[in-house]
Amino acid sequence: MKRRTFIATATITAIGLPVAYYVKKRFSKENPLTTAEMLSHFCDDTALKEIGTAYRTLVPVENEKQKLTDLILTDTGGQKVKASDWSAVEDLVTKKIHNDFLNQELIIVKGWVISKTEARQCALFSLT
Amino acid sequence: MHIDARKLDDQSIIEGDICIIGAGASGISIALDWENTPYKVILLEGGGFEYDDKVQELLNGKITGHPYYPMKSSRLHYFGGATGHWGGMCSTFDAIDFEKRDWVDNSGWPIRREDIAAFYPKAHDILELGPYEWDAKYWMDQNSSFVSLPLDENMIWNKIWHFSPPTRFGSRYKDAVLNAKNIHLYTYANVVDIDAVENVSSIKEVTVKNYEGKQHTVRAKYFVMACCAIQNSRLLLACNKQAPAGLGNDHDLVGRYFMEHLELHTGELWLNHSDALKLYQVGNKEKVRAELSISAKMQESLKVLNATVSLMPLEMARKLQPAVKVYTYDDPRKSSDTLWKYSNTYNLDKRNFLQRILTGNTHNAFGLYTRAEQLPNPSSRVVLSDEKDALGVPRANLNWALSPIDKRTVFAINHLIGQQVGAAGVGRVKLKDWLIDDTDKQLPDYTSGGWHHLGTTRMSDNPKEGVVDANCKVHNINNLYIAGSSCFATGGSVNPTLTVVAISLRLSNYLKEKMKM
Repeated sequence: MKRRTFIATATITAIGLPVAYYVKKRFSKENPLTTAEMLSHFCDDTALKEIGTAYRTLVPVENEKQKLTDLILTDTGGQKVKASDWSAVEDLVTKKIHNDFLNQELIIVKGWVISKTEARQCALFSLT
Repeated sequence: MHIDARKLDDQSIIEGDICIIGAGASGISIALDWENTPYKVILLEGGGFEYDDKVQELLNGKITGHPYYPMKSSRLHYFGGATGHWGGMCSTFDAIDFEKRDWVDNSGWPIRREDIAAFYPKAHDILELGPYEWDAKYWMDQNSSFVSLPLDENMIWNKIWHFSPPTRFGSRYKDAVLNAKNIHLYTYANVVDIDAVENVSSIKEVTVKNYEGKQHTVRAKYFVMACCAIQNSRLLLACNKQAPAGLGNDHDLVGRYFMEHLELHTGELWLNHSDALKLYQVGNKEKVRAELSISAKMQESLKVLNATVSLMPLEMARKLQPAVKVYTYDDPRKSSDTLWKYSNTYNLDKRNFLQRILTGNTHNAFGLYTRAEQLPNPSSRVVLSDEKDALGVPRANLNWALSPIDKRTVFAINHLIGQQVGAAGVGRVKLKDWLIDDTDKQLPDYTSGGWHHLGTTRMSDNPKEGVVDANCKVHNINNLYIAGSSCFATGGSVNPTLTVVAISLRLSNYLKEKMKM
């Protein structure tokens, strides 16, 4: 490889990779079933998984993928939202988290005062 | 007028209308309240105008129970008292602080907040606190950068604090005291004994001593003890010639119920957006800030005490050491040195920190620093030591004892803030590990006090439940009064100086009326 080509390639790679990573992180849609949106502002993936693992230890009856999925996707009226409908899942989860806080449906995991719904999201995330 | 008691002839007799023992915030406020009256005020101060280690040594004693600051250095024994080293943070007590709360043992004052409310404005002026405005909304109108967190005020509300310069009474009011014709300040006049009449129904005279070996007698119609909670109770207990258990101690209450404010880092507030939260920070030109306070309704609902939480940038909060581990010196001047070193630890991250300030002073994470009321606990007490000080007075020892409700309170307010910021959708709260450890019902050893000595001669209408009555008069002793925080039946959650001055002015007002009779 010519020196000039090498420098150009290296420069593009050095600038392009972090930019691509940032753009992916910033704009790509995460699965709302496994993404505790608010917590993800403060915790990296490892920390979120630790919260999820700790929750599964605290609440062993929910230590199962399907059980967690059902609990997250079922609304207060017992209706279940389709996991594939990310937009509906996002709306439901946002509403459930808000209601959890209003109704004291809270749990403390790894020190975080969080809603049970977002704890379940972390738990499911830790199983993926 | 100033008289150095070391220079008086030995065995002098000093006479006046009112004798105030102790020239700190309380004693000086009362004395100046009598300026230009026809009454002769005797103001007794054990020290002089400057720090004197020999005099300071008279305060020494031992600590047992929960770790506490050294007895010698937690108060200053000279004109101006502890205002010589206070930080200047002031706030008012809430109505609930005076009430009998079913869920709080030994709570309830014989007075209500309204009874001292009229004295807060003057106390506010004495402490140089700026406009007498305590509503957060008023301050938010004054400064558009003061924005409240969107919390439910019925649960967590913005309690305003004012910052005194801080007023050092020793320098600020020295001239006023010295120039007042009817105020006779005696320095180096340590009260070592109080003599009552035969049936101990009133006080006849007090004996003062100093290191020069001089001893004098002070006679007055009324005596007001204003030497701080530990020294007031020490002196009452030590005066046991005529009352074997000590003056005012017929029911074994003197020295008991010592309280502090419990201060420590309890968690972190993480916001989903950067915000300076200027309403909650120190250093603004208004010299006020808000703290997050638990509402009376939630105290009742959760069966906890009063508490308030301040927010500080997380970089700073994580570096802050517990005060009780920092202020470990007997010499209060050394503790001041430590304060500066300790402040400098903030600079470890100064590049990052300065950058944040320069780029808009915004943060998305704050440390939660809790300040909580302590349950009045009879085992938390001042007792006399077998050892005597150089002037022959038994030293005071302090056993500081906390209770499980203290920890429950600290947990409750922090958890409630977590619930509230979650409901508002602005962030999350992370609590310290020890706070969520159910197996330990007590606060950790490094829980610090705010250097606020409260209780020990608590106020109650019932002599079996309190040392002084609603007018701060010692039960069954006609002319002996106690001023300041030792009369507090409960301690509230905020720093006490403003309320100490207000309650002292109320006593002063009462005595002036009584004097006219």
